[in-house]
Amino acid sequence: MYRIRNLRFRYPKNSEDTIRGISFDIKKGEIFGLLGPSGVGKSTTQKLLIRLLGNYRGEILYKGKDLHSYNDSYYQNIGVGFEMPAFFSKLTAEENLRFFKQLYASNIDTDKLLKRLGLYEDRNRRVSEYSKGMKVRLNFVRAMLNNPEMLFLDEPTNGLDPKNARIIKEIIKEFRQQGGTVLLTTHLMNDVDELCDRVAFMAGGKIVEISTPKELKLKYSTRELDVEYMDDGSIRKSTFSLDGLGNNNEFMDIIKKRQILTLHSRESTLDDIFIKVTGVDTSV
Amino acid sequence: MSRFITLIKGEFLRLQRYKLFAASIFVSIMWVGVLHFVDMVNVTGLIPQLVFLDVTTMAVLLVGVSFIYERDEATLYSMLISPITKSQYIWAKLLSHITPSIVSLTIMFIYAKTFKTLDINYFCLLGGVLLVAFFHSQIGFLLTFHTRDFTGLVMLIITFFLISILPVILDEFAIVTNEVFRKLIFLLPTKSALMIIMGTTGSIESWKIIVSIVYMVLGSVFLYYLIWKKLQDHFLKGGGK
Repeated sequence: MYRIRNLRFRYPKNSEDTIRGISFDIKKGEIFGLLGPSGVGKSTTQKLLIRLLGNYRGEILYKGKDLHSYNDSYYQNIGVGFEMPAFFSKLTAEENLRFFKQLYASNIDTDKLLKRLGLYEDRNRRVSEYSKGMKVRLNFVRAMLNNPEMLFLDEPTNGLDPKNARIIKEIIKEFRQQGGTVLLTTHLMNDVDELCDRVAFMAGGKIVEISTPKELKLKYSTRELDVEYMDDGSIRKSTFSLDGLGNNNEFMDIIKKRQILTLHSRESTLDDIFIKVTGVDTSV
Repeated sequence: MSRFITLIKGEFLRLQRYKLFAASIFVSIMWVGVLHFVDMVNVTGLIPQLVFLDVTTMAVLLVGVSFIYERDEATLYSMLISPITKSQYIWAKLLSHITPSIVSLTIMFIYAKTFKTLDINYFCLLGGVLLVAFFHSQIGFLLTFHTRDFTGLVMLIITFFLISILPVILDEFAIVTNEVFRKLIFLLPTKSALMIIMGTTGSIESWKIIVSIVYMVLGSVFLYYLIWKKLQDHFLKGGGK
């Protein structure tokens, strides 16, 4: 879908590049996560791909053609959900959606989506009267309303309760099943784990790691197993290497003779990987 | 074309909902108040002066406020990731925001025709208002590129008023009669605007009207180019935020 090679970008008043030669592909039908702490260039990369920013160096190909060669019809094929809700606050949700729908050649049934996201009953209320969560859900409808092939989502579940976050994630998965492609930017590693086929971690304007979540977890894991078991009425814990585990007599002895309480492999979480590769803790 | 019409309709709806139309009507009623209380029967000379003040200030203010709303609510970004051209966006905003000036002119004209003596062709005045409002709406657009919020815009408009409109008023009402001053203000676009609008009374020499029209038309083309170019730079800088 996208092929990005040696992409560099500098804001006019900056002395240094914000994006420093990144290369990656977004394949058709995948959910690609672009991750990293604030200010590393994720939003800038997204703005370059949606053509809000130009004057970049390097190459961006969309469906095999240079992004520069597309005219404004490019926007017929993409949907964008900004992190901050982008609506006319003194218009109702329905008026906002109707206005934007009329700008596109193709539309989805927004009533159906509004119902699913629990906004249908409030569609005739002004957006200024909406809560933060309602605005986030409406933002998602805005991104989907032109039935796009490619979806750019920036923190799509941020500020949502677990129930509505679940609904949004289900819709994103359905979108992928129907052949849609997604570029997801988020700090919520649970969302990444659940949704993304591949992820890229950014730091200092560069991509420092790119792979599938599973492969990254294996790469950053310690190949060890922690075992907690009962021994003469007290809880004991031992750690074993996964390599040659079946031939480890001590481990086999514990398995056969002791009551096992817990067994944990030391597989890294995406949170751990985030901290390791970007140097920033997502929990703070 | 249908997208352009959608943009125009959207602008009109927002003019109404954000009460910008109401503000414009309120100002028109104030002008009618001036016409009502002024001690003269024939207002042929006064109407163009009031129209001039209304068009030059309101056109700048309305476009500026509307653009700042769009920037603050991030709908500007939402527009720019829609399948519309930059030109369609700019034209829709400019064309819709000169409508309050037309409404204001019409209100004043109807009042003056009904209750006072007025010897001006409405359509000549309308033509002048369209050109002057179009030019000044573009000034409003450009001013917002240099401000972060509504307060900043108001300050810029006051500065614009002091530099561009006040000298023309001082000259028009013969408050300042210095010859160098009177010649220098011909450099101001607002002087051309006044020439065009006053020209509808038949009191201005034809060549002055023609030169003023050429000034406004060429000025409008230049301003449009600046807006078109600066709109993109504006986003590069982060949309004024």
